[in-house]
Amino acid sequence: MIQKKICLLGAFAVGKTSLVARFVKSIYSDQYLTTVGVKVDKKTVTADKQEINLIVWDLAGEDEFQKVQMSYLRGASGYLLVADGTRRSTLETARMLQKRVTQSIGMLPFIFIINKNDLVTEWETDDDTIIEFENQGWSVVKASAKTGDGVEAAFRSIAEKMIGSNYSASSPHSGEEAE
Amino acid sequence: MSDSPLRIVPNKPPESAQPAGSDAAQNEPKQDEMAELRSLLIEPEQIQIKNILERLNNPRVRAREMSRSLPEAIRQRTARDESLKEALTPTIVTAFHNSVKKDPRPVAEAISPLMGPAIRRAISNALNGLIQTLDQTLKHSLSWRGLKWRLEASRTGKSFAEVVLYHTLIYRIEQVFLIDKQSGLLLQHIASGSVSPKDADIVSGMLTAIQEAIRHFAHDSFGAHHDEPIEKIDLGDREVWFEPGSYAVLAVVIRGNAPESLRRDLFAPTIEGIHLEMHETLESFDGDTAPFDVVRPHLENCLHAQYHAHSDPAKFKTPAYVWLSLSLILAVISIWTFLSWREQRRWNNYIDELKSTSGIVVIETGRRDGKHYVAGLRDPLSVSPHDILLQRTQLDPNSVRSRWDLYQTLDPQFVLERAKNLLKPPQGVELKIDNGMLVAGGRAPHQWIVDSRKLAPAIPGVGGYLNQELIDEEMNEIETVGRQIEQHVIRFVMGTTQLVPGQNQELSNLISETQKFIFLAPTVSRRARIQIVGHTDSEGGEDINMRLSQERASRMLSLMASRAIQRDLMTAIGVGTREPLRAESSEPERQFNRSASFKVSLIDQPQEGDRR
Ligand SMILES: Nc1nc2c(ncn2[C@@H]2O[C@H](COP(=O)(O)OP(=O)(O)OP(=O)(O)O)[C@@H](O)[C@H]2O)c(=O)[nH]1
Ligand SMILES: [Mg+2]
Repeated sequence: MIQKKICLLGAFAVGKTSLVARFVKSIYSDQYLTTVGVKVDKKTVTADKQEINLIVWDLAGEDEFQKVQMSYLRGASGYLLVADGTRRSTLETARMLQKRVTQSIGMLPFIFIINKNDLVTEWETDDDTIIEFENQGWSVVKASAKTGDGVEAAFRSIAEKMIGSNYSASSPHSGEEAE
Repeated sequence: MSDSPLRIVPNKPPESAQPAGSDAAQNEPKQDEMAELRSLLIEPEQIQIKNILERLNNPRVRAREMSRSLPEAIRQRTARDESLKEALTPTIVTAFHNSVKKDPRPVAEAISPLMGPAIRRAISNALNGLIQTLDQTLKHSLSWRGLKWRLEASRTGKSFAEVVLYHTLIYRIEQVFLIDKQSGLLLQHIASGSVSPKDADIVSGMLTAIQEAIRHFAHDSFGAHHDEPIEKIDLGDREVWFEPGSYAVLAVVIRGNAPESLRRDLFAPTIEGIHLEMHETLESFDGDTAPFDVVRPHLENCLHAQYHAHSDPAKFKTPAYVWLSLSLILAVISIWTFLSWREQRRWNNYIDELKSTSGIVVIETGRRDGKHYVAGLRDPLSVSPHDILLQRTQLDPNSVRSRWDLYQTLDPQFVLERAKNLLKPPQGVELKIDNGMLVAGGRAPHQWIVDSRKLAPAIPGVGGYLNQELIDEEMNEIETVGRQIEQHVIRFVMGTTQLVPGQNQELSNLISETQKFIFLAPTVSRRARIQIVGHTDSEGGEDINMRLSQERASRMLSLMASRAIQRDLMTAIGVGTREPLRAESSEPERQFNRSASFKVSLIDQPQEGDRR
């Protein structure tokens, strides 16, 4: 079976760990237990009629004190950028992280997840902002770890992107060294 | 808080009632009564209200009161719903961030007790190996096993500690991961039978992430290089050892303490072998792990080697009877060792004794047919090696085989001894060796002197023989007797061959001395000769005197012969007046010349002389 490594990254408390829990175990909790370092999980998905074993690296969120370590992304075939729709600053963090990944690792397929779709009333993110991202070529998915809305879709589309995309030509070892 | 809604409620302070009251008093006296009545009716309440208002408006009082109820209030609220938490979170988070931004030290100090043990543990892990090595080495160096392992160490060229570790550590290699170095994706994994493998590909990712995290920590904490390979991580009851290759890492999960040599002997060759075999596949790896099924034997070899060594604890349980017989063997060995050590020491002492004995030269020692063996040369005069063996050692003479060839040493002491043995010097003779010469001194019988003169130069080690100092006892005596004989003068009556009377004593002395002289002569290998010389005084004619002197000598010879002196040893001549004994200036001097005197001599007698 094909194995692929993907990473989740974004600002802190945007729901990365919750998204993985939802995706892998179909569970959700309102409790916030911040991730220290990395948490690795896996799930098999079918993309392009092909079974893929996704090894999911859930990275600690970025905040003022702790930057996301780019070396964790080495060898990843793609990543999920996660932002929290209710906190506008997390979208900026996502934008910045994407730049950093491209700089240090190279172009990798990614999906931009704007999470907490269930709290849409409290969103500080409007459709214009989303369109702006899409215009830059980003694949944006609105999702909710709480309801499960959009979660499967987001993971499947990154899997498909990794399989089908011309990015796959850039094998983990031909990518630039981290940092 | 001054804008708090609490303040709005008591809008009309009670004090404002007083001015109103005083106005009424000015207007109407009746109102005083009213006021009094009112005060009677409502004064207690007024005071209460006043107190209450004071409590409400005085911030200090209010704070005190609130401080009493706040904890309970928070408890109640928290119990009811989450709103307090939600309300407080942003403030607390911001406050925390601000505090850290201003001065991170308090936070650092707060968490350092947690970091300390972690670092300590890392260090103690690093030290573990060393302490263990020493401890194990000490424990095993004196045991029977220890002896065995010492043998093994010297045979294999490993250090003793290494051998001990190899044998004593009980460990088990539980799982072996082959991990893509970059992505942390699992390429291949195997686990030993009894271990239930968790989701190996998740563990693989975690192991990779942990290494990364440690590198960051090491980099941030002590500036270690980012690419520093992590050797192992300690998970409490087990360890994970990493053996990196250029593309893939071998991660080995070990329970217990494995010897460090495994890395060199097993893991490194394994990862190298895999790289050799799978180089292209590894280089172009993009998630397809199927090709790595072929490396399973490599990984299994890691497990297998471990089993083969000693993972089976049952093997380590030695039954009691084995221990018993082992200790018996050990006892026998140690007794044997002691005995042979003692025997060897005695033997060495014996050899040393032999070597320090003069006249003995040890040429070869060793063992032959299970016996001690010594060969060498010995002077026959030396102390017997066998005597040394019996008297000075506790060795069993039957356990010793010796071969001694005789030789003669030139050691002066031995040469002298040899000379004494051969010459058997009589008492009074002193022999010594001086500059290789045998020197004889003192007094010796003539015969010994003659014999020694012949023998001495033939003695081995004697360079020459000096005996000038030696006094010949017989010769000495014979010469003395000879001199006594020649002192005698036997007188004759004038003009006759008649002896002057009264010379009997002198005559008998003469006879006995002459007999002694003749008797002694052969002892110095000579023959005695006695010449009797007849004399006359100067009176009378020469012819007559000549004849008279001749007759006197002959008369003397006959006399002596009649007294048992061999006639053929004597000669008689007359010298007349030619050899006067005295000057004849008086009658007594003249009488002296009418006499016979004696001359003795010794002549060589080579043939039949030695009658001694
Ligand atoms: N309403 C709502 N809350 C969510 C959703 N996803 C996550 N949360 C909550 O957001 C908080 C943070 O979620 P996590 O998944 O721990 O966030 P994270 O991104 O992993 O955070 P870090 O690990 O600290 O970077 C938790 O209290 C979650 O319950 C969502 O879709 N809707
Ligand atoms: Mg998390």
